[in-house]
Amino acid sequence: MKFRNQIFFVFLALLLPALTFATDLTEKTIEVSDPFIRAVPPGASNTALFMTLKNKGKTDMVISGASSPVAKAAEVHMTTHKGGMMQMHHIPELTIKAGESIPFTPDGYHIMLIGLKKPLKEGAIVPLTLKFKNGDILKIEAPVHKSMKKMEHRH
Amino acid sequence: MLLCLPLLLITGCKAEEKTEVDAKLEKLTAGPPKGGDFTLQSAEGSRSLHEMKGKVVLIFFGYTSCPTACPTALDIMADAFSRLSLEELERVRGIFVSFDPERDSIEALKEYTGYFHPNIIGLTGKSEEVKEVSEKYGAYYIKTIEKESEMGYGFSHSTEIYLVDADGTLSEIYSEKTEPRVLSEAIRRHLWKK
Repeated sequence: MKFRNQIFFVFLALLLPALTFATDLTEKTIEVSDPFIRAVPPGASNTALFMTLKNKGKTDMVISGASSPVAKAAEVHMTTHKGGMMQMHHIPELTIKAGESIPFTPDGYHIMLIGLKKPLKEGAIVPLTLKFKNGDILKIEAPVHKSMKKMEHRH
Repeated sequence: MLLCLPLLLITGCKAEEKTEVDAKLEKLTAGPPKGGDFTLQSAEGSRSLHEMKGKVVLIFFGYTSCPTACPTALDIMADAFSRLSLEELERVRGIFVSFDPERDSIEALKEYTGYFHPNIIGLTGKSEEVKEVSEKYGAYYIKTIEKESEMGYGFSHSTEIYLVDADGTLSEIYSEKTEPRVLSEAIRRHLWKK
């Protein structure tokens, strides 16, 4: 048994570099539409990124995290309305099934940028990296918009 | 709403909206909120609602770490204000009450509300003081600890905009999804009624 275990670990050690190499997803797999970040006052510590994500691939993809150089942390959050109350929850893993489209809106899922390092100027392009459970990453660039009017016109 | 027009001058067209709002509020409070005077702190010192008598005041309860609902409500308020004439605007104010004094200093609040519109002021106070004011208006909020999140804690909260008449009475309550145009029309109705 011990010998088998050793073989297993050697195998794993050889495989590890392949597992940790992050694949940069192109638009062929996950399509990003209309990403934008809500501009907030200079003193505000948090804001949110909205967009639509479509999984054009054949396998389900699971978002396991996000990061952006403009904030301490970026997380997937979900807004819920219950009994006249609005609440947000941190969603550690979000699955986008093959062929599925998920809108990221103020009333649903959105990427929260927590602990902004400096005020975001209107029109600035902010980079954000989405991380997937399988090790893949997706780089997004989102402009900062002042008003929510952009959301209202979309259907 | 069209049916209300003939009654506009007499009743201020409150009946229709109040029924809808009342049903919602019953979940949160024993009865419709009474509103009323209050005193909280701003960067310029202590401010009381009664100081704004003669002005129509819109009130929203929130916190600056809120990424969506609060900026949206203040955006709507600011948009509504921008539709008023300068003369009308002199008699209109907005108040943003923060129920997160732990993180929202009065200076931070001033900067926050100033970003949206100069007529909006930010107020806060000790937790018990803010709680008392929020209860008068039927605004409900509860701290939610987010262990797995960098946020630390957030709030589950109601998101209504309260319209206080020029005589200090809580007259109408709007959802944060209200169109700015609807809000500015409501403000005008209350500015001109006697």
